[in-house]
Amino acid sequence: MMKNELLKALYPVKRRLRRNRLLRGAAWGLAAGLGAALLLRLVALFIPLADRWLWAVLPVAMLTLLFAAGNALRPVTDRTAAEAADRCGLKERTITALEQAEMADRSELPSASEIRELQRQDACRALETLDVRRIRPGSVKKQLLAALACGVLVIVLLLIPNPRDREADARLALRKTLKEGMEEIARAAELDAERLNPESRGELRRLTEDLKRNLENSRDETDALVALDRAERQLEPLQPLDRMENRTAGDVLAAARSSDASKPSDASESSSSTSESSADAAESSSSASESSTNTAQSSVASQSAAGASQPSSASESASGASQSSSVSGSAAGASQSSSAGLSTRQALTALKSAVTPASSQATSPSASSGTQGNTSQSGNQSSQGSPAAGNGNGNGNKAANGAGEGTTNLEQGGGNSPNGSAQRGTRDPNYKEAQYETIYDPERTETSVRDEMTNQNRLENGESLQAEIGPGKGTLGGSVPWSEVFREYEQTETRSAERENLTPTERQWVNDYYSLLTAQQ
Amino acid sequence: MTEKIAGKETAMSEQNNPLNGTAAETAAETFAETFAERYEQIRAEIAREMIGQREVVEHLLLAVIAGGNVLLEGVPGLGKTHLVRVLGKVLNLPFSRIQFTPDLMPADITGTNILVRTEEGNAFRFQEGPLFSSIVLADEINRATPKTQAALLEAMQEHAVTVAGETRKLPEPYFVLATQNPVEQEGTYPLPEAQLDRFLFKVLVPFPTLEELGAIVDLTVKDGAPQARQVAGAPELLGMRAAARAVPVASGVQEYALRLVLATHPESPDAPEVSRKYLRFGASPRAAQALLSVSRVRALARGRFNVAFEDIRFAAPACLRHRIALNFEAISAGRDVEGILRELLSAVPETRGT
Repeated sequence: MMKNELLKALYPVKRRLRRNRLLRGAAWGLAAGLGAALLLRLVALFIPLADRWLWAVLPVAMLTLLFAAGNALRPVTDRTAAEAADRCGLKERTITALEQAEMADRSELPSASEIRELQRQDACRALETLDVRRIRPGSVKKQLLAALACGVLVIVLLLIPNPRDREADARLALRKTLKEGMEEIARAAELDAERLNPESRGELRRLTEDLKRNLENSRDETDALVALDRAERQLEPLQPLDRMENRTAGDVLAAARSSDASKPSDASESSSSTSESSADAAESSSSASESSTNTAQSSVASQSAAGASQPSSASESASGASQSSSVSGSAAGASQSSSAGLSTRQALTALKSAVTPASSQATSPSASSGTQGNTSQSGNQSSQGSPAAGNGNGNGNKAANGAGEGTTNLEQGGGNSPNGSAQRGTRDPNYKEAQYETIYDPERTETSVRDEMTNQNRLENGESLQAEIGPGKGTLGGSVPWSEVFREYEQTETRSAERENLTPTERQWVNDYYSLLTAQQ
Repeated sequence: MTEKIAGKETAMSEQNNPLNGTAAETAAETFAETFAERYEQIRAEIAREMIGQREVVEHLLLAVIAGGNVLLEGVPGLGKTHLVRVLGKVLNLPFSRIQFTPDLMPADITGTNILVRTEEGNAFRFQEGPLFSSIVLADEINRATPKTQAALLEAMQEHAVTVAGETRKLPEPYFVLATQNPVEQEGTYPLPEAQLDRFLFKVLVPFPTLEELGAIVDLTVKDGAPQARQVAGAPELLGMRAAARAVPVASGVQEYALRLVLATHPESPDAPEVSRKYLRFGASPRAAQALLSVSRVRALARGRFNVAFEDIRFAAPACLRHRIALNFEAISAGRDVEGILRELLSAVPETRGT
């Protein structure tokens, strides 16, 4: 009874203490959160960390809430409340009354005493007149100062450009691309599974699961490409049932076509019929172009390149390096066009082509602008990068950069669609290496002519004189041995690497790449 | 015959002690509510004749109500004897004064058996000494020999006197107020630690300020000076003492008092640096008792029914200054007890949250 009255009088004190603890906890949490955010920003100077604004805000919000809630929910004992009240000038009245009441409850006091009762009444009176606002939360000046200092540093570090942030953004884009690509691959695998025998179906499922895991674990585009190449190689033995049934006829037809493979016009027809992707018409041409897996890839790639020949679709493809639409679009297109091959493989190829530009976009500011030069880069990579697992990425880069700088867009587009696709589409896989040895460079072959060529001279009086000097070359293309242009490419790339805002490591990659090529040569 | 006399004395002592057992409890309840008022009344009455020395008067009153003895230390002429006399007058208690000299003998203060002639013949009769009074003023106590000083020990602690094998209770309330001169030390016998420990307080009587001195001069050199009146008696004093004993003390406050006493011991593991460096020995458990009993009285005097930390802090210097001894390093460094006690008080934190 005595104690109840005292505890009732202590209730406002307890409420005030809980509020004070909440404030103190929030101050501590704010300081800790900003400290953590600062730490993360410092770590981000060395390790790429995506979503930098999120990581700046999240620790602050989380720790502030956590500390505030933790402090506020901590129970306020009667003793703590009594001592807090006594500190406000009650001169140990409350704690004494509380102790006496507790002792009375435990029957440690012999009998009721008037003095004890007077003391309890005195304490209750004092508690009733106590202004609980005098119970201060304690100084949080240090915590707030620390929070302010950390906050300023975090903002400064957020505003200062950090190469690691760009790297992290690139990784994020890559991860997004991989995720979407993997979804496409999974969809394609489901479609393919219906066309496979049970063993192959299981193999395909295992393969896609492995690929998914590898892609999730891949730290950069190189890892992803390696995983994709490995999956592609593992996919090679898998054949759809319908194709196996028609194997004899297909082989015969392929053999017949292979004899005419050297003829560019036939190859062009074959390729163009594939790229038109009419479901009915594709049957005959695809059987020819599917004589090997590489041929199938080439047809898909040439389709992609054919798409790139149109300026509008080319820019879509380029910008799609970090957007899902281009990946799924190209994958869907690939699955539609190749009814006889595995859609999974085509989705893989599409993802590979999407992965490489994502990295180049991230590392080079010019790549993200979606210029037409990058369009040709995408087209070449999809056609050249896929066949060889190890060298595919390197060759793709090389071709992309070379085409971007050495040819015009129209030349690149025109060259890819009629001739390039005919050559690659009909080439036998045994000649895969030879494919790398030729570089599309119509100006160098001097077999083409320019549509128009003008000369502009500035006169002494400031006027300029422009005159046609005859037809130029360039609309018709041709391939030259890569050894002829290798040095020029190397010089161009080296200059480009020095000019661009590349890290020393990335610059070293460029140098190493050409050093390796030189060694091979 | 001797036993008969002794029995008679004992009965007298019980008669002189009007508040025992349940009576004391009843008195405590009666006096608790009016304690502060009565205390202030007594203090104000003493102040009519004592100009200034407010803190000395307060310490003296606290000690008297707590039932302890007080050692007043100050240069001659500061009104120590007058203060004790006024206290006796206000409280209406029997007062006796002993001027201690080197040739004073124990029997001179305790009393002795003398041969008296009665109708039945010669017989020994105990002749009470000046100790048989409620308020005993032992003036310049350090001038008496240790033997005489030791005669005071039993009276101060046990409130009893033993002469010729017979113990006689002293009247209650009983307390000894001793004075000593701190400057004239030649031919004196410094009080031994055992005796010093029996004083609840050692109060330093400071020299009055200019205003106080002017008021003293004005008051004493003219006729018609205000005279203190009796405002309380032995029953009231004992009732107030009983009320003070019942005042509860929070565990944290009590622990603070104990830590303070322990802090004076240089060998204690919790002793602060100042204690380890400058003290030779620390206060006895009587110091802790003194701290708490005086704090209880002060709490009631301040209108509280519980002891606060500030009560302990107030009582600590007077309770501890005569119970600690400085070592050679402190003396050579010119440190004084007051400074060391101030440092001790700031070094020992108030015990909260236990």
